[in-house]
Amino acid sequence: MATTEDEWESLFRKRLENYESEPDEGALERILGGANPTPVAKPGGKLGDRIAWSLGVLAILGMLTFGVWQYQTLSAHTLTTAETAVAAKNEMAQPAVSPEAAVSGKTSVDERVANAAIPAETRTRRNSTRASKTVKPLVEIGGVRTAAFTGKKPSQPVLNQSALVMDNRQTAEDQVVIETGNRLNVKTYKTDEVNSTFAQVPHSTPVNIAPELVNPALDWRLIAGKEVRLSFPVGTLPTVIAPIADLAVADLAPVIEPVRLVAKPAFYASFTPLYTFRQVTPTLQDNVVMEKIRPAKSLSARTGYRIQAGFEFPISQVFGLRVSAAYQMLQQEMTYSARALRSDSSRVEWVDPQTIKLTPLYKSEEHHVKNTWQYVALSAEGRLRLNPGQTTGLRHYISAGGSVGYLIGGRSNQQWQPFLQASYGIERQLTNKLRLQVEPGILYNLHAINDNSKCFSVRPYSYGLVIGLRWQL
Amino acid sequence: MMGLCRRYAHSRPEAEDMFQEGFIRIFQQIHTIEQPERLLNWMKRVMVNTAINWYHKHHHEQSETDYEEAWETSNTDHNDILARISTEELLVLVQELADGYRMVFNLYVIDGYTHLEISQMMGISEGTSKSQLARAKEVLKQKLKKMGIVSYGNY
Repeated sequence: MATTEDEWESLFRKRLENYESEPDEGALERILGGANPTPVAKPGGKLGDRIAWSLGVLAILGMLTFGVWQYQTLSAHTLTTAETAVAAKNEMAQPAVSPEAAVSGKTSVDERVANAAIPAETRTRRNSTRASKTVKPLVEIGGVRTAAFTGKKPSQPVLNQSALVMDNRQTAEDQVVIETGNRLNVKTYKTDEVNSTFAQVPHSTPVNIAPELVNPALDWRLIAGKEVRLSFPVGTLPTVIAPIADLAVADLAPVIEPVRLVAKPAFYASFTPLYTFRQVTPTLQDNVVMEKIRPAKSLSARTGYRIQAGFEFPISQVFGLRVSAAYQMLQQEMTYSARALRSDSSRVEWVDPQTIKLTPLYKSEEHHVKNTWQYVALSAEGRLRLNPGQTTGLRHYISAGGSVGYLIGGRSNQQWQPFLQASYGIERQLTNKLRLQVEPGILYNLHAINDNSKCFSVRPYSYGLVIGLRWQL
Repeated sequence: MMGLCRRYAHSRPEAEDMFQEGFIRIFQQIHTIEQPERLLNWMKRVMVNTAINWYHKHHHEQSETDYEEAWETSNTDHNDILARISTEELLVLVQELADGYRMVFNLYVIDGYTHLEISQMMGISEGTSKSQLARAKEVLKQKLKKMGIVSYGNY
């Protein structure tokens, strides 16, 4: 009784399709031990990944916000103080008053500073009495007042000798006028006793200043044996003791703080060649047997570069913040050997007169693969200066931060690629505004990348030498 | 499931390893099933895929194929022959097939896949699948003959 092939197959199917067999006793334990159920994938990825991403983005945004705020604060404050300090310096550098100013009634430098210091009410009154000053030659103690504004006590009062000389040219009937801010007190001295007068420092309370206290420029020939009693020895400059009421002027005067460094950002650009020396370990594949894996280049299995440009904001003298845009390219070249999918020949062996043994032979083929990954990234780095007190020579610093890159070329499981980078840098000044930066550093991809055939999957860390230029704006 | 693994495996220890790997995959991917009522079919499919991957990993490199058994035998009535032997003995015959033959035979004859599906799953051509199936059947018939079970009445 002949049977068809289908019937024969049906017999086999009936006998074997419902065949049952019991696994050994320890099978369940081994399965449970090896099973690691993956959590259900949710839109947007795992919760941990989303939290990490959120924290990373918030950290970068926080650093950016803090840097911008700090920069704006320092810039506004420093601009005001710097202008005031520069004006005060310039005025101190000028003679306290010129004879012409004293005679013609022009507002002297010290007067302008005093006008800025005193209230408007007092200033108006003072201006109303300026006519008397223009008539009477005055000697001003500009140095003393300048010291009050700058908070520094001068070692010697600044005397206007030209005013003294001019005063000597006055007649004997000239009067010495001492005026105050809110009341005009006139105390007359004969010029044979004192040949110079001082303009009173404007203040809120009327003070009569004894000439022996504020008149350092005495004509020693004239005062000898006169009623003016001096305690200092002849031949040395007297010490000017400011009236107590003058302290009020100091209270009203603006406090000029020490000039801070102007927080200006700096533009910088850098180029970093990247290398790695890590050997590629292929992933186990079902149908690709790879062997003799070796890099295409002798020095490195993976090369690349990173171009970066951005701004550097000085937060303090020690710490700064770098924010930049970057383009990064990684390239992997390797060769490996794999068996051909089809045999190209067969070996025939006679086992017995009725049996032959055929052995297909496969030739090993060498493959060359080249993969390129291109990223654009936004980078934020903190920069800590190691020798902040040193103003000349090389500057040393360390910088560390992160980048978030987006894959624009190449294949990877992850389109978004976070990087971590750190470097140790040396900076050398080339010109007043231009500095050269050299930083050996390391760059690490947090997500693994793989090639087109997924023969390997690695987390590349690359070494590089950052060569950059920093331009102070 | 263990029976399915034993059909595809060369030996019982190999079937146990295959069984373990298959169930681990099932546990890892069970959340992806959309129709729970078809759980059994889905599990069978996962096990078959595990067997195919196992074949690729462990047997694909064995380039030597025992062609000595692939000789022509005449068609005969195997109904009685198959009915006489036990399922275990029949299973041993299948297990003794060469790896490629065993895979195609199980996929086509027992599990009902077409040659097109087999060619896609195995990564081989459809013609290869057909030829391997034909050779597998011939080898099985020959083995039955060697076991002395085959009836020579029709020769």
